[in-house]
Amino acid sequence: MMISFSEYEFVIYDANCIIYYCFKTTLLSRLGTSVVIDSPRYTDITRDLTEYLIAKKIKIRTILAVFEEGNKDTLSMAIKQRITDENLRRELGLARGEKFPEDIEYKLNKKIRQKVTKIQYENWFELDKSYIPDQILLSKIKIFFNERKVSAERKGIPSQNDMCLILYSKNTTTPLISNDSHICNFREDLEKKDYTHKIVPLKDCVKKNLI
Amino acid sequence: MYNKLLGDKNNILKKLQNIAPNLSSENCREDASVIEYPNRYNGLSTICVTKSGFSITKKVEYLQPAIFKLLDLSPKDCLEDDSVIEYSNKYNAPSTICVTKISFPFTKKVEYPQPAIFQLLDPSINFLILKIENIIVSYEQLPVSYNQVMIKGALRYCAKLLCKIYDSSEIIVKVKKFVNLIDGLNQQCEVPTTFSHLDLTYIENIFESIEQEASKDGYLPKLEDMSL
Repeated sequence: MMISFSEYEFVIYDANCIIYYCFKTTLLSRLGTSVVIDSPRYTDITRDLTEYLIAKKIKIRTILAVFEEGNKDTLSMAIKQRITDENLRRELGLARGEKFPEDIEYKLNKKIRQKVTKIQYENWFELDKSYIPDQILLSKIKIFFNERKVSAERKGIPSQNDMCLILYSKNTTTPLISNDSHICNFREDLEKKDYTHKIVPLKDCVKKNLI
Repeated sequence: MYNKLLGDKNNILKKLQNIAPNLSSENCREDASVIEYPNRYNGLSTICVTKSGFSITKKVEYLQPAIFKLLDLSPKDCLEDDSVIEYSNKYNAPSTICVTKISFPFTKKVEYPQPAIFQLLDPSINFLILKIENIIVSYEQLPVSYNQVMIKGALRYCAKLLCKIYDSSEIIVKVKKFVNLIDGLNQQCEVPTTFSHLDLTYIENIFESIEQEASKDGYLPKLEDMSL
């Protein structure tokens, strides 16, 4: 599947994409080695994609509420998920069942949060602080998801911020790149019902697919 | 601190290189009181020199006998038991060296007992550490968010800091106030998810001032310099 964003001036990143892009740091293990802490696969995909977009002079944008959600929740959840990985823990020299020290987890959060905060000052990034979705559309999209709640029960429905982001794509005629299954699972329906312009799953944006 | 007692860093490194040839300034991290180096078992070793309020204490963790000799720490006239060697230092105060066993791949750390006088000076410290542990547990009930991680991390740092303080320091008062400020903060939110939306910048700022002071006084490095 080939993907091209050439016709666009902007693309929209969801919170996961922003966090994955910034989620790369190192930590000294107990064995004295430097261990890379990132989100395997997704950090590489978002880095390649962002480089590709920068090279094509296509800017990345998102809305303030999503950016803040990324900084407040998504980031910490991504780190928590990563530091519970047994292979990584072994690399760091942690014993089986040993608790990851809370202060070091905070240190990782702080480091990556600084990177996320910095991104808003990049010239290829734009943070829309003024976007307010149309309330009628927002109500309609809530109904859309509630109607599918039963089938989506296992996977959940998008947060209010994600719903705003879906509508933001429609309002700005800009593709939304997302790794959120709550969004991607319904992308065809959302596009068909004109709730959004276009949704592109992040996993499809691997380097070899970008033209 | 160790500069006073053991010579300058380069000198120490030079001596250590005799038994740890892969040791270089690059793979040595240094802060006010700690140097770390990879040992011959591929584990991480630490030399740590700390200050106590009434005397100078040398604390050497994971020290191998060879290093002991190289650093001229006068093993003569030492009292020795399984893991601790005591001797009189040049300030005529009792000093202690901890020698720990290394069980690859994880090192077994023998904690240096704090001077008994510390307990007499401030018996509330243990209570404060216990209180911190309980608060950490209570915050674990909240959904994962930056605020939750920040609070737990700051408290863990404070608990580690209290274990390192050997005298009655003003920083203990600061930590107490900080802990009291945090205690019960999570109860203020009726819905647990709203905790992540609170602006806790002021709490983070207070913690940073504690970090700053702890590192300045040589108790603990700043969070960014902490390692596992």
